[in-house]
Amino acid sequence: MKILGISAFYHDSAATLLVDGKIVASAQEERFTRIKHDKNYPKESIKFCLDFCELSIDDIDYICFYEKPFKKFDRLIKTHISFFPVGYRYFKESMIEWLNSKIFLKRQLLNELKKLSLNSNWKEKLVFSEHHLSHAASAFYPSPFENSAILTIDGVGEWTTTSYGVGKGNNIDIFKEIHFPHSLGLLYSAFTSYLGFKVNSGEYKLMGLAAYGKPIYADLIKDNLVDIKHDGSFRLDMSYFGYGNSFQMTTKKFHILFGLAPRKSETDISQRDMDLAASIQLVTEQIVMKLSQFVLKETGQKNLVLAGGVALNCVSNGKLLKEEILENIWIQPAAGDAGGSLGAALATYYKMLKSPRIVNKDDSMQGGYLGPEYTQDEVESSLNDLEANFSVLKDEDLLKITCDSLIDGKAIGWHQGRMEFGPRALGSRSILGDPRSPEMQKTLNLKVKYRESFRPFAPSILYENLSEWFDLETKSPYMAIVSEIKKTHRKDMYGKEKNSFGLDKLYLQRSSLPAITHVDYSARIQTVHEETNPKYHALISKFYELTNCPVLINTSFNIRGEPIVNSPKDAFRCFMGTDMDLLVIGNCVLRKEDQDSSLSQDYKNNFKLD
Amino acid sequence: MIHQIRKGIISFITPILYLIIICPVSLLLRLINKKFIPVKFDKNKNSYWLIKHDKKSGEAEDFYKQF
Repeated sequence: MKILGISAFYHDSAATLLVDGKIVASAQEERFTRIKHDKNYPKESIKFCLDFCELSIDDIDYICFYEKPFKKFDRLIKTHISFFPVGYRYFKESMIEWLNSKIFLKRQLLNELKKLSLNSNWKEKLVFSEHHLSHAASAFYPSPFENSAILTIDGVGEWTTTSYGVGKGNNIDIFKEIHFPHSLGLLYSAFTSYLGFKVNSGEYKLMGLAAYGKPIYADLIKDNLVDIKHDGSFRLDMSYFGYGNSFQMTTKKFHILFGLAPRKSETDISQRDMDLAASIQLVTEQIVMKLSQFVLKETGQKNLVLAGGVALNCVSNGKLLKEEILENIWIQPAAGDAGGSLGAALATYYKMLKSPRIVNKDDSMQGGYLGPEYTQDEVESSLNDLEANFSVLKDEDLLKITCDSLIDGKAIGWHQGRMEFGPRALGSRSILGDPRSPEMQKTLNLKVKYRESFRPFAPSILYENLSEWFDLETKSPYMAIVSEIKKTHRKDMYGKEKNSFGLDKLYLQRSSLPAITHVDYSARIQTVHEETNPKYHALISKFYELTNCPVLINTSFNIRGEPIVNSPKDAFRCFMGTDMDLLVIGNCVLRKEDQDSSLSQDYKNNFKLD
Repeated sequence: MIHQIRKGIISFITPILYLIIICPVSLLLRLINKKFIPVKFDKNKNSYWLIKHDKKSGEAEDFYKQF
């Protein structure tokens, strides 16, 4: 049984191919088209999935779209009726979009499929899941649990913004929901927008910024913006929010409440902005905690699986784990809408077709390495076409040279094996650095990534050494959990250092791994496992052997506004357009000083700032 | 070209749709004091959870529907 899952037409289009229940290929369209959060029909991702398995589209038994378009349209119309007489301009724009294409989504999908083949009865093969069922399926079916409570939280699907249920064997039952416009994801996005960041991509920045502030506005938020019940359910006061009937996330009333107009993008960040970020982060954590407690109690389960965009809030996930309200947690690494393609395919296989499910004790995501890979011949051929100068080394020499460069404080592009599925780079398309270097965070942020200086970097650590360095005992292979660095590795702060606030905290050395220790001693951890990424594991092991440090900085291989690189060609362009020193693709090593400088381009301005 | 024509037609009919659907339905709902979407807190409620009423949701035949 071969099932293709598709998510598209909102943001983060993606495709996933499932063969007899096994996830064999998944990729986001943005990685191929080089358009960040590309929302178009995922033509390239589908092509990759089919090519990877040497299948034709006619071999596919079902194609499942990740949500139900008419339900979404119903929500849109009822929202306009509810907000009448405000919002005509918004109505007009959304109608143009819907009546022009979205309402004919089934026809659009059928036309695209007919372009690939006229031999199949696509009407029989095309099915639709629900948005939150897709999220729930992406969280439960690949999890290592036979039974589990399921919690999905995001901006909005059709009507649902939050849902819970239970997964047992091959079945999922969703019990209760919270509906639009009352949305934890949109509440967080409203603050993202108010603080001058882009909705649907700046939420990570807000989360990173939160650590610099104090949550002094948390009570103001809870008193005015969101009413939280004992069971975690919540409702927003929509007089503060504009997203129901306008192009603005917040209203004037919201701005008056916090005393200022929204921060303009790219302007200085004030202490107030940081305090607001800390406040909404705290409120989010409190709601997620209450929701989880309620869901576990109601369902009688000890395991919890999470998906939906809010499940990418790894700080909140870390707090859940710390509070010990559950025995086990598993978070879908592609928790956002891209993961909807995976969930749609899984829901079709297990929920619709009732196929038996075999639980994998680790999980079924294969480390998240589900994207394209390039053979050594393909890499060399690409690099030759690009007129790059490179040497081909054996694994052992390659690891040694890479580690020596890391120790020398170099920033290294690391392009190996299959590309990751989901927003995190997990050691296949990564930029690496030495976490012991006090300068590395600044260098990587400003000279390599071209992004805001306050943004933290994540560590990759050998799983075997996890408990020696961090207050975390469970695996975190997908960088979905934040935990604190162990006290034994922290550096004490005295006098002026201790009393510093805001961005002054940024360049203080807080631990023996300053480049990955955030201002609150936290880090977004990736545990590296030999079974899922042997080459990356071998690299960190070599670094450990040479330095006694089993940790590397791991940040995504891209610059601000750019999708993570996919092909060797993308990697070479990014390498040449930034201050990266060394590029390792497969067994090829490229040094910056060996390259023809005329091959570098004005890379930074090729991408819109996010 | 077809896309542009369609866009023009939609731009023309959108205000009509607003006038003949959104306005009267909205006014009627207000008259009978009914709301599709609650927009304020309800301090009298113990919970904002809604029971998933669509019992067939997720069943095999439901996958063929767009609604």
